[in-house]
Amino acid sequence: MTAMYVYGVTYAETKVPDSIRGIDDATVTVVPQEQCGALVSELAGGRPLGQRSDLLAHEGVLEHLAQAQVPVLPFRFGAVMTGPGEVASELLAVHQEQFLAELGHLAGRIELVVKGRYESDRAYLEVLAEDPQLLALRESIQGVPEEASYQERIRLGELVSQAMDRKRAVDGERLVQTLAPHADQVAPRRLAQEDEVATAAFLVRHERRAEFEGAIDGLGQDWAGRVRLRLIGPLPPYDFVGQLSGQAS
Amino acid sequence: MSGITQGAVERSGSTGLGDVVELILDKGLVIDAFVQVSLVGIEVLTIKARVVVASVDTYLRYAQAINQLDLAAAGIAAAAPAPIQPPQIGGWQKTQVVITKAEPMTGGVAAGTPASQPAIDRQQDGATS
Repeated sequence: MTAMYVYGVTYAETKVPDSIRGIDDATVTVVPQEQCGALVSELAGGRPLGQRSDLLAHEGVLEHLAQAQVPVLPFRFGAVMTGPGEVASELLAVHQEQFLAELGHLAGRIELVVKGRYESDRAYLEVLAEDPQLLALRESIQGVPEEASYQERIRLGELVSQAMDRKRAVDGERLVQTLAPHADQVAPRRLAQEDEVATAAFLVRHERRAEFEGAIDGLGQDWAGRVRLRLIGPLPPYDFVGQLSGQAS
Repeated sequence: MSGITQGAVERSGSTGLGDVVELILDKGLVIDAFVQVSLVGIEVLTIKARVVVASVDTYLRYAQAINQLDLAAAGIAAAAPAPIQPPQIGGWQKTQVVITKAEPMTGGVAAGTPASQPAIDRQQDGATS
């Protein structure tokens, strides 16, 4: 007994090369219905999903298409339907217009994610240099055993945390303001790390990619030794498909 | 991440589980919103990347990092005699990846499917981490 794992929706004529393997090394095919197609592979029934290789396979299929500049609507991990007939009739036929509109909207565009992180101690040194109160608090607990200065340490950490938030707000704003003019849309992501400046996803037209990369290189130069920038992509437009709603009935 | 020229922007596809988890578990279209009838209730192991953002723990880590800074070297203040150790703040090693089994979705195949469509066998014996 097998089922169909669904990676996302693309155009019906999309071809997936054999070198791109799905979950459990399965062949990825396109189930067409009129102009839309669902990216699927067979999945053994009763198989729980969520292992590292499952996640990487899901992402690998979609990322390949993004890199080949094929528009694709990425699905969240874990969508399984009973069979190809149901994929065509229930998923594609019913939502054909919605999917086509969204694919058209995203055509010619890629998602690029930019992450900025402070270089090791740099932000902390700035915070200390900018606030004499912090410096004094730090001096007052130097050499004091941890147990004896517990409250002071928490207070110091809290103040540093607040100062870091303010610093992030300023630097994050600069990152977005510098890059947004070169993109169609921006979607900020929530922060995941303490030394993170900002993370944001940008929807960028193919023909403006070089220009976008020029802008991020410029910012990287300005921030050399202070903030480390990372550019991830091209990715499927994960951050820009949220507007679609499946509530047809 | 080392060996990168200062000022250069690191470029890559999504690399490693961390990037991927952020993408495909958090973002993307949710198929449940589009399909209900023929959606197979297969067990999905949920993976959560949890990060403590503001807590006493965070504050203490900040305080430790601040205390270990070498201000003399940075030219900020008078001598700071504390030994220098690079604070281990940030980085993926701080991200706890917690793998737990989610409640399996109800029903092998949701109601409304023709009776000729047998439910997918959902034994959990294949579960590994």
